[in-house]
Amino acid sequence: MGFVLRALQRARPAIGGRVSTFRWITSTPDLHKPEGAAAAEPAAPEPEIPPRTPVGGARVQFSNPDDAIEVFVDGYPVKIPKGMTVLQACEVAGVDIPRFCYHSRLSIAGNCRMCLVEVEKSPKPVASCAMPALPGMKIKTNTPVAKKAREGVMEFLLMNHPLDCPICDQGGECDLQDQSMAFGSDRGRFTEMKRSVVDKNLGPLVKTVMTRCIQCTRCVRFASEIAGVQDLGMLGRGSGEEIGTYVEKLMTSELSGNVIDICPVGALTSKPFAFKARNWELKGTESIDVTDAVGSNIRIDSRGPEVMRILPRLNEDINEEWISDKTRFCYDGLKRQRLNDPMIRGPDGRFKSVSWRDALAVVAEVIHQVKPDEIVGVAGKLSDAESMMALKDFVNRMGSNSVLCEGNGPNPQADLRSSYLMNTSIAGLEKADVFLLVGTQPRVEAPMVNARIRKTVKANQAKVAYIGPPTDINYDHQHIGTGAETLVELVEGRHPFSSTLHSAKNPVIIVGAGIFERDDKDAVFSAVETIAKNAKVVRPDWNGLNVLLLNAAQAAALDLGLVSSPNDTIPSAKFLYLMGADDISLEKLPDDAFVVYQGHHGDKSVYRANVILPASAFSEKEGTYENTEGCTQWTVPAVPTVGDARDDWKIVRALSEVAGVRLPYDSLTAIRARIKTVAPNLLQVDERELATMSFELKPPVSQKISSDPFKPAIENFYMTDSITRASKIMAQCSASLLKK
Amino acid sequence: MFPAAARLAAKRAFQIRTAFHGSPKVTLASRSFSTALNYHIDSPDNNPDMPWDFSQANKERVKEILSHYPSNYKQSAVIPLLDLAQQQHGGWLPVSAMNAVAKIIEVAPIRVYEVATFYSMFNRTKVGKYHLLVCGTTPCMIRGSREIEEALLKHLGVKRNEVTKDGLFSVGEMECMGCCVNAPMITVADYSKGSEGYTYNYYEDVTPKRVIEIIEMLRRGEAPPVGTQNPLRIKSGPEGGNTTLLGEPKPPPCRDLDAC
Amino acid sequence: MASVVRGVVKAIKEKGFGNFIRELREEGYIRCLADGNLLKTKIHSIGATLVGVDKFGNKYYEKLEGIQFGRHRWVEYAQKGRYNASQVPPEWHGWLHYITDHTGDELLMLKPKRYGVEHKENFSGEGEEFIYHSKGHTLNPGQRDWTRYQSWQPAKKE
Repeated sequence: MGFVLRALQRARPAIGGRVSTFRWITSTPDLHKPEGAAAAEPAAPEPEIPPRTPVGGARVQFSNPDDAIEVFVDGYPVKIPKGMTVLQACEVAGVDIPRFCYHSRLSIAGNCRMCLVEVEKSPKPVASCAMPALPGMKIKTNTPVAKKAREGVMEFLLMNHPLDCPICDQGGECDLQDQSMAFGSDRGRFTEMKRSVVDKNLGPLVKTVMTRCIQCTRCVRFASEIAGVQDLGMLGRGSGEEIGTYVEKLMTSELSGNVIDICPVGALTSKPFAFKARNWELKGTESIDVTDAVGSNIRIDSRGPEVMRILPRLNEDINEEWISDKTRFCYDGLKRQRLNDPMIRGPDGRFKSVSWRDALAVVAEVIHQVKPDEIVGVAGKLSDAESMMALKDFVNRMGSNSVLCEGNGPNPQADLRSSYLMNTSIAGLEKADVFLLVGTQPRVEAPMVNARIRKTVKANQAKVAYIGPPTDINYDHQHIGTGAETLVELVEGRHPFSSTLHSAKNPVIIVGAGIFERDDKDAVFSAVETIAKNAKVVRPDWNGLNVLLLNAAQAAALDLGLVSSPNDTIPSAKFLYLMGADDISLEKLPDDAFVVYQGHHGDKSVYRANVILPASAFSEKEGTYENTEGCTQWTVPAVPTVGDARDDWKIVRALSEVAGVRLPYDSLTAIRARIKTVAPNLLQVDERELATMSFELKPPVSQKISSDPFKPAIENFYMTDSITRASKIMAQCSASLLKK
Repeated sequence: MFPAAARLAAKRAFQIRTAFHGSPKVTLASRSFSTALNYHIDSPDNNPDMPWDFSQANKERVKEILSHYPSNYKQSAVIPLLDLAQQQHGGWLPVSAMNAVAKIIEVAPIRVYEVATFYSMFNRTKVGKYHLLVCGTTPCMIRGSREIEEALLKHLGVKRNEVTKDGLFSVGEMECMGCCVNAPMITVADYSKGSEGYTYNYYEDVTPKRVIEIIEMLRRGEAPPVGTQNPLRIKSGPEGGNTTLLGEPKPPPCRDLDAC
Repeated sequence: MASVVRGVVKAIKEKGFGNFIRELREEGYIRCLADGNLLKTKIHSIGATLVGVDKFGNKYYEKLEGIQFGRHRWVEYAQKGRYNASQVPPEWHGWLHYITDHTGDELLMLKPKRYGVEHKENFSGEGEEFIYHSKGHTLNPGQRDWTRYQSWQPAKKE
């Protein structure tokens, strides 16, 4: 349209001088002279402003009442503890300050300048995120100076930011987009070329479009402070500044997906989710994660019948606002290898799809042909409490007592809840000052717990000692041994670490659930308990003896009493009911045993099954799960079930009716009422039921500790259960990130 | 009817075309960015697998440098150590040298890369034994630094940031080195004698003719006189001797408050 | 009117009656009898300047004198039977709607021939084959499978 411009140029003298002096680029006129505008405002006494509610539930905790100071935010007095920043004070006062680089869980960088506010008697606007609040400070957040400052910062930030929102995955949930709408100008004065930056390869999970980066350094700080991988850095200077790894390097953190969430722009986005959906098309369902025993709070974003992505949900007690990569990216496993029809293995060894009626009839017929004590029920690692209850009731009514949950090892000790729970609680780990990790690698077993330990180590300089196979721990630690003999040394106080443990104020011992599989587990536990007793780990005010479980179903299974030993029951089983159990060893199972596999994925055990009953996955059902610290949580259905699949407990309930031993519950409420009679804590959702009984009530053990070194409980972090094993993304991760 | 219309249209179009043809070409606004890459590309002489270590003599200096800092703040030594490594490695820092520095100061390599990419005096690509840096800031530019750079590049037959075939010279640009009073100036970073004989000399008041003489002297191994190249000036003094402040400075009038 | 008759007589003399009738049909004069719009356009075009003809054969007229400003440009469509506004190609659209004074031919010379698809008129209501149904629409033959998961295949035995 060059000629239009030319025409304008020609026409301008004719139109007169007014046009040439016309400001083509203009912002709100009264903001041009902020000082003048501020002075022009009437100096009348501040009107009474009603107290506002803090932003995002910001809480104020006064560790010491004397340290409280009072500041005024927009004239409203607010009491805050000493050391809070101006931004935090504003949040407490209910004013949301725009920010990019500031993140409450990361260190303060102060480099985006978006949080500028006016402070009385300060010559310039101050960056509120980096400025400590001082007593009597008068902070003004909506004055012309502050608005002009934000507008200017926004213009600078948008200088080099590409205008590619329509093709950007962050579009719709982008801080830059939102804040430029709220605080920015409607035009910019920058007419030069925008810069462009080479994209980096951070691995199969994080997609980078580095041109969009605004150098807030949140990802750099996240990687070095929380994830504990010093891979990302800020390279170059000035307009050539870029985030990168300098050398070709993948981000090998199990928390790397969180940089997607903290990136305020579309520079770091989810690679599997790229160009799949827009965030406003998605339906969010607040659920919990079952891929490990932590029970991270998640939001399942779905579109129609499809889970599109998984995002973390804030829960200060469990996962703060992070989730592990396995939690975040396992969702494509929910769409692959699904069992959608009941199937029966014919005489030729091939599976044939049948109706539910036929499948249940066959199972009911077979179950009556075997002896009652040859019936074994095995709950899988993803089973919810309701289905485990139903399975246990069903097997019991058939006359058998052999119900177990995989992963709990031979002879699980379920008599004392304290002997299989994380008694300190995940949040409680932050108070600890000495950690002793026994046969557990929290980094792969429970990354969220590991993040807590790392946080504690960083904040309190807590000491960590680790007994187990050599592993990569991303904080300072001592590797004091590989097997039980180190435990014996600690019991006898011969080990140098004993003194550290004894002098600790809040010592924590974490025993891995991998120990459950050991034959000498009772002896190991009694050794650990002796250490705990000697070091006063368990006191009335502090319980530092923890078991870190591996699977989502474990804690509830032990609560419900699924405590048979697989070594005793499986070799003699003639009828094996696998409820999603894929990791149980079926080698000793007699060849003539009839195996019913009820589950949602065609995984390991399906190949041994005679009948397949399709069940729903955690994203499709309502279920109760208890995490490793004993906190009961519910999943909520986000998407419909696939094909002909049904909820686990409903299948068992239907089967019981066909088999003639009708279970007395027809609804979730009824089955939960039944659970209440067994384990009432499973009904107190989102609450942690403390284990009150101490381990000292345990009977003495006569086992001998074997000298076998502890084995890693998880070989491949990315593939631990049937969902993650079906996931392509997880397969890519294990191929590219775990290769040494 | 139609041919007439087409003729008419063609005539109009021709008029427009001629009108546009004569108009000055609109040049796109260009923005200059740093040419140095902020990421590393493996090459035979620059890759992380290349062994690199400080020489025996320099290890002593490393120890000396580290002794300036508290033992828990070893990372403060990153800049002196990188400088030493650069001098030892002929004026530039391969990625393995940065890794070696990171190991000494016990930080993650990326923290060293950050520093090395930030400071433009750390060269991350090969430079000549004599790295010539032409000041390009306003006073020098007004006094003809562009011509000096052109003369250098033409004489050496290279582009900016390129090394001559014999590996002796490379020309770069540096921003204000504080010699504006003697503008224009060039700096010669001499890496030919390793970290022991490393020099970093200013040649001021240069002319396109004089810089070529300086280069030729360097090539012959002579040491050109540093400082101003204008024989009529003494250091930063004016040409032909001082013209002002020749006598004793007068005291300020109001020093004695009682006298006022 | 007299000039029209004279023109007609002259044209018959030059071309012969058969040719004249064929031209009349091609130029749509016959259709004018049934199509008042076309007739009006034809009458309107008398004495107007033919500014250009686009690649479809649409004729663009302009008349500056004796006509209300804002109605001084119009098009006579090449297709006399079914015509609609979407037959005007984009380069002429601007001229026709007083967006620019550059005619379509001029704009075609200015426009860099780099991208863009050929102009196509809007065929809405002209039959099933011209209707686009988004995927998932009942009438879209493809995309009928809404299964969003992959089922486990029992044949694939390890």
